[in-house]
Amino acid sequence: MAKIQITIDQHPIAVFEGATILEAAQQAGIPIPTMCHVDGLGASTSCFLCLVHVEGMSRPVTACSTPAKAGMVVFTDTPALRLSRRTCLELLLSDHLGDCRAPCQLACPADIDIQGVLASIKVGNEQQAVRLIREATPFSASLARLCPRPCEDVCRRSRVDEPLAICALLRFISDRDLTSRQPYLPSPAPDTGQRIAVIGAGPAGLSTAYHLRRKGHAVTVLEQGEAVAATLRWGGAALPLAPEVLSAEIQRLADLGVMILYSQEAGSLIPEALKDAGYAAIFVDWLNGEDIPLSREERSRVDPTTLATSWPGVFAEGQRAGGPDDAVRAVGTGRLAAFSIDQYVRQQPVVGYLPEINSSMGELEQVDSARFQGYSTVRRAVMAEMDDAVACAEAARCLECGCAALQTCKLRVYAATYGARPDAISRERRGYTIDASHPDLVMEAGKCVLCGACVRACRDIKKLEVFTFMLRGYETRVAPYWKLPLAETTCDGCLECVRVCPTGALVSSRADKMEKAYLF
Amino acid sequence: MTQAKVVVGLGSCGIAAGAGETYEAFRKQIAGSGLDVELQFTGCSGLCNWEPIVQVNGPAGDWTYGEMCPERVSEMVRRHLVAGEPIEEWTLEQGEHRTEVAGFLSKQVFIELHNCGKINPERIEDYEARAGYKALEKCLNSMAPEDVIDQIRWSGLRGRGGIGAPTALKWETARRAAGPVKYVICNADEGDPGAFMNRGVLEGDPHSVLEGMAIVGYALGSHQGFVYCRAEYSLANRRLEIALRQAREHGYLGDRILGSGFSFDIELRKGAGAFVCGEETALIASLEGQRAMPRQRPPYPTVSGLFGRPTVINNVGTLVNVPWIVQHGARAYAKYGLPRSRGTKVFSLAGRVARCGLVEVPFGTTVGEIIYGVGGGSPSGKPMKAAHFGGPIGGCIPYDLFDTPIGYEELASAGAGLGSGGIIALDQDCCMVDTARYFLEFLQGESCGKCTFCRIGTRRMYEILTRITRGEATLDDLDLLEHLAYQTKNGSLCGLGIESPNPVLTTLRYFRDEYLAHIQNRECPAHVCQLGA
Repeated sequence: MAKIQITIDQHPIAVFEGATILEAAQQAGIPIPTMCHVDGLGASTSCFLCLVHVEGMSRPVTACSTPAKAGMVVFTDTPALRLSRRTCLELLLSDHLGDCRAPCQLACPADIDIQGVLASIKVGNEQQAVRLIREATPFSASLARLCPRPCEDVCRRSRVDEPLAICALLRFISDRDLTSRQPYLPSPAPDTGQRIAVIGAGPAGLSTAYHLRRKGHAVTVLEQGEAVAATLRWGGAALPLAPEVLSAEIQRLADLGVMILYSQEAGSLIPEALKDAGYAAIFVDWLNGEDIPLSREERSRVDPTTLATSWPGVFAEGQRAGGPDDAVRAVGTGRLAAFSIDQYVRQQPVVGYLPEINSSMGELEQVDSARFQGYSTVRRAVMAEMDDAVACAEAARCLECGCAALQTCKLRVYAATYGARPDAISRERRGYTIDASHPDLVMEAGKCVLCGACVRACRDIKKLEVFTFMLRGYETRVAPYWKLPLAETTCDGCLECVRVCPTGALVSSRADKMEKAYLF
Repeated sequence: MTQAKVVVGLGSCGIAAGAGETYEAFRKQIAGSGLDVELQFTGCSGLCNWEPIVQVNGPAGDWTYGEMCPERVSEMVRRHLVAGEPIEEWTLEQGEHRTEVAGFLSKQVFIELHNCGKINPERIEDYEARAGYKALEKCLNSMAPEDVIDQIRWSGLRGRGGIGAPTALKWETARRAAGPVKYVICNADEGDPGAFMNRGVLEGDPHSVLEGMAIVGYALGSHQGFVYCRAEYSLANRRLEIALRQAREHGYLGDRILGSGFSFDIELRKGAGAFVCGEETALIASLEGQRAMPRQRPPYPTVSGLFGRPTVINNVGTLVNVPWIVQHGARAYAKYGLPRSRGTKVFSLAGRVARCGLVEVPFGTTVGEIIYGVGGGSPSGKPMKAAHFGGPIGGCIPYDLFDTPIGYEELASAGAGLGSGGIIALDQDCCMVDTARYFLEFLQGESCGKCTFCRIGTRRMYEILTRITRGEATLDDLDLLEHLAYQTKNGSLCGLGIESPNPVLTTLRYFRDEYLAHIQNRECPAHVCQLGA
């Protein structure tokens, strides 16, 4: 077959005649976003994300279905195309009924993957539960004693009966790990050779140190006070914080290789001096609001998205808001600081966390009551009775709000890429439906973008035709034929539809789901 | 030879006005009366405004009675048929409606509608008596397929479905496309609210459509045609079935038509009423037994259409012109109209006009001449505000532009587009925002659901328009509405999606002040919308 020459984004590309613009771009490694195209299933031409501009044409064309022609000049990333894609994604998001991350995790100042932890407890995988907690913080036993539990305030289970006993479960798991013969310790990444100083052993400072050490940096914490005095910064004596628990958790940092030096002279804790001493970056903890070594004015100017100060290489906890969850939020601050400092010492752009899009089913009271049907009332566990069986039963109460396709969802990835906001376009929401009748897969129609990939995959690959388009207009849905429950269709559970689904509308419900979904 | 002939208009419009009962009353009165009167019926004559229409031909002359409700029948039989004295005050020629009817007919030229209201659509003999199937005979006897296409090209005939593609170009492309099997499809899936041009022709003159299709078949070398007619048009479907049977019996369809070497037959298929089936690739999918979802063009159906074969899809309105052009010649046709829009165009005129109905005028007639001249302006006498062309995917022409001549390019440059031929007149009592909302409500329900912008975009536009008409919208909503309109126009596959924002864009272009009044002052200038306090 003859080859033809086309130009995409100023790159000359030779493709076989008959290839689409999308195929030509893929061949040249130029990304064009698409939700509905699946290699091998033919063009669907429905999502309209892959619109590209072809020189000489008045309207943009779909890359997935427009054949490349000799001499064609294509642009894939103009401002107009980005705007079109953002609008397209915002329209899809406006009709997307589902939570990306679970509301409990979004509410957690320490950003613990609570749903993953609960799912691990439910299946008796305690080690994995601890590992997931340690991704967020080494201080879970201490935090569980003072946290005001914003996660439980937003827990959707309270629409069924009572919120999950999240805090009690975390404390149960954390305490047991702490008192076990060999508490879990994550392995740090290989040494980077970078030295970083942390001024102040408060929750933010110690958390920064922990996460930086895990990334392979050599970290030294410099603290003015005695070891015990540091505990005061965790929220004051009024809170039920057990000093021996905190000591044990701080010891974990030392075990990981963080050097903590107490009783340091105030005069030695000057960022400039530390930089001269060979530290590549410095983090300054809140230090009970003392002016040294950062003035209040300087603190107020800390960039909240990166925690950078106006001095290069110096990062700091900004003004504290005060309140009972101060310490928990400080733990989250430390994690962000470590993220930014890592970017800084690796000479990457310091941008803090990468933008992330989270679709939500709404505030607790807004969620469609259909979401809570089919659950029976189960009494919430209390800390005093906690044992393996109780923990397991309590974790099983979790409604698993977070999406099983969190890491793979194309809608979420593209939304972040193009800056699409889930609530940009106000709308009337659809009602919630779920089909969990089948042993192998679950269908949540509210997450469907109607790309039809499942319809085509089932029909063309499996020759089963389980799915079809139904109704028309805005009411159009993809559903099993005759609206049958999935279990009553010819579906044999091959999961080809799950493979091609760009979102979490179709997900596997097999036991290995959790392994895939919640590990970061 | 009977003494007199009574013809009752039994199109859908007549039947809706009670013409069925009128016909039945005549039947009873005439039966057993000893009168030598032939009772007949016909389709819509275009005078929908004065239905039921009854024509009487006899010794007392030819008369047309309007508003002939069944109660008037016995008196009419007694005075006109028995005594031979027409009741002039009930006739459209002499009665109180005389000047209105004359105004209604003043600008009209009948080509597409030349048989409507003149023949019994269920009698092929009536059609034959008015030179029916003579054009087909002429093609088969004395014209090469290329000659037929040339005639159509010289006539300047363009598609009447809305896009206005040159008809000859479609035929030529399909004729040249490779392969022995080709198809002809008549698009009779008229679905615009307020549009009834095709229905009038299908009910009143079905043989013209079939003859037009057979000529297309001859021109391309096709042997099979399909009429895709929406199932809601039950009377049209019934008359098409009768016409098909008669045409086969008379040798105008089937093997070796009229003794020539050309064989062609037509199958009637009923659509299930989806608006999108008017889009040609969706119509093809539906004919193939699939869900009616449009697909990317090219390839165009003329190259790869029904079952992958070269296919010509023509609108009813296009096809009925074909026999006339073949018979009278391209020049006779092209003398009507504008340089780029030749011939006549049938419109269904509805809305706030004193006289509604089926209207056929030459291209080049101005919008104002139709609304005021033919339609007689607003029934309330209030000033006109706009004329909406082309149904849900069309747009409005404001009063200030009423001297725009009607033509494909002329209307498109005003933002409206000719569309299939529905005209809805809007006077000062109509709210333009509410009009746009009405059409978007229709469209968000009729999108096929395939493309993101059309499926969700039309819905969001409808929701914003609803908020505006309730006085709940902000200026940000207005910006979003306009943004979504442009993005949807850019990001859709077929005509439905691409043109769906037109009602929004044209009302925003000409009546933005009405939008602002709803949003900023919380008031509807036409006092149509119920705005919250």
